[in-house]
Amino acid sequence: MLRLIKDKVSFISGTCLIILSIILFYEASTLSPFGSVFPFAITTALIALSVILIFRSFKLEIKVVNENVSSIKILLLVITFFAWIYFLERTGFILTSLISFNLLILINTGTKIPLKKLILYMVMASLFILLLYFGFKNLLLVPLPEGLWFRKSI
Amino acid sequence: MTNIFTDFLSSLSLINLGLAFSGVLAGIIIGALPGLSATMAVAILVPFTFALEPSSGLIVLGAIYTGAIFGGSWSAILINTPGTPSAVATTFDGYPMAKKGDGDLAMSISCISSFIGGIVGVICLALFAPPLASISLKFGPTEYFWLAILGLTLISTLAEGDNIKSLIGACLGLLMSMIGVAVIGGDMRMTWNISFLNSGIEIVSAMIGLFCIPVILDLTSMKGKHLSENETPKSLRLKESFLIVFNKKFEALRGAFIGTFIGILPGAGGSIASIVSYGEAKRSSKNKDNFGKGEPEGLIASETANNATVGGGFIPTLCLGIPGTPPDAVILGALLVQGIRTGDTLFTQQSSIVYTFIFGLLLATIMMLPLGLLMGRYAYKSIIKIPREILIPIIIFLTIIGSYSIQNNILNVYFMFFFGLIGWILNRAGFKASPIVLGLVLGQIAEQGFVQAYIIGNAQENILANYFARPISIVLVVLILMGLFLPILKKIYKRRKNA
Repeated sequence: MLRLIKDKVSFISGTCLIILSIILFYEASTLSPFGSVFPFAITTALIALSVILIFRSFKLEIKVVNENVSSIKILLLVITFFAWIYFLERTGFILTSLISFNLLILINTGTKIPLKKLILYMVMASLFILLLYFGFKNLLLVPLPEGLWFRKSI
Repeated sequence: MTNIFTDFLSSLSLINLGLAFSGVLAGIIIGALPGLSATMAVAILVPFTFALEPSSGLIVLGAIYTGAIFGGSWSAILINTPGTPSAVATTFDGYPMAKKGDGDLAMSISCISSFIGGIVGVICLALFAPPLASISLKFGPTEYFWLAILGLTLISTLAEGDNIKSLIGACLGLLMSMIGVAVIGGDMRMTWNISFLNSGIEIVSAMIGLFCIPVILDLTSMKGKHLSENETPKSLRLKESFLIVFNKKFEALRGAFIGTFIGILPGAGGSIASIVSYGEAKRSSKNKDNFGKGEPEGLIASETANNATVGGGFIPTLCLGIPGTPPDAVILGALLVQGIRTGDTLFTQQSSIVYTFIFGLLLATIMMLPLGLLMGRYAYKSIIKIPREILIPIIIFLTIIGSYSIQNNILNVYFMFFFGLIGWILNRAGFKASPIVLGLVLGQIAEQGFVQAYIIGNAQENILANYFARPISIVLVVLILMGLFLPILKKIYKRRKNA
């Protein structure tokens, strides 16, 4: 059976989408008529399109051209990105951004560049963060998180 | 006539010129930052305008709006992330142009096209506002539903890539738009008892994630330069840009008229306008195969249309008191605070304020041209010079700050992150971000129209006739069918001819 499939990505995507559509179709059946009419229509369309995708995967392979990825770099980037968001309100915008931004520079440069250049990048990054922080706070009136430690009053 | 001339001179006062200039400048910068929308830019500055003369206040708001819609194209071209939802179609050809080393050309073409679109929109506003406003009243729920579906089918069939996967992406976007409270009926849908899903998905944060994070993750692994640089970096390529737009003058005007017309329809907005215009450009172009690979014609179509919605959107706002787009709604609020009553008598009883505003908008659009060309050039050069190691954290920083500042809510940042990762996985499986985002943007319009039309049809005991037998609906359904099946029929015809 698996040998007959020419486009495995489409086959797997189509199968996952059919399962998702069935779950959502079932969920829609518990709603009022007005609330369910559109979900019914769209999930039905999604099932039909997924079936076409699955049938097509047996006939032809449509190759998706992707960039080669460096798994370690991406994993480190995703973890730092998430940590940046997670600590944003806890540690405050400035401190979290300074640490995460510079950490991301380190992840992306590695040991490729001279120390002087790295320090220059970090100083520039820190100035950029401070500039945007005060710009957002004072010009655009967007209050960014100050963090639990720096809050004047609770 | 004398009065209009006096209004024109009044709009040329030093203070109004200064306000229009600073409004355009602020608008371009805000619009270029992903997450900071035209609506937000206008809303932030509304309180400051209360201290100004009504017409001056309106000029600055109109200028910010014009600048922000144009500014949205910058991030679309340079980092493949539309600054505003109306710049989604700009990413199709703008980013590929920048990747090829024609980023400066793309920035200039986008500015010239936005200028043309803006001018046509304002001229239509000045000359034909009352008669055009009546057209918007002919659009009922059924027509809005078909218009949203037209936008979705066009993007699904026109965006580069696999058509079936694009249509699936559009359906996924529509399903995402249903999360939270139903627009009609008030059901709580697809929230699975997670409280923060009750208010639905914030469109802009999802858009930032879906477009930006795949770019960031690909940049991380990329070898070499992130954007190519052309061999003549010192040239402004202005002549080339003007020549390209001049050679496509009819296409540019068509895009501008499409944008103005769709701008008139309340709630439709720049995202549908740019997609419809892009679709029409691709359908009628001799270079169809180049669309999505960096074809300037696609960029012209998208940018003329989205800036034309500014003038178009003011038509129902001023004549009927129905805002055409979300920024128009904020400006309508400002008008009411200033004591200006919108309606058909506005152009006769308070014509002085209205015409000064229209002339101000015209001046702002004219100012946008040199300002946009100059600033765009430097923005492109700066992005090219920034090392990738710095550019990645800058983009991440902008995605966080942009999604946070939408509602000052950290949940939007989590949404952005989550959708970004999903978008990256889907992208690697061949599902592009643009149909998903458009499904999300148009979902509410489509559902509201669909359910309301169903209720009306049910009450009239003829549901099908309500969907398919209304004159405008018939035209829209025919366009949808053409968009879906013409490419397939053409392929079959070509295959048979070759055989």
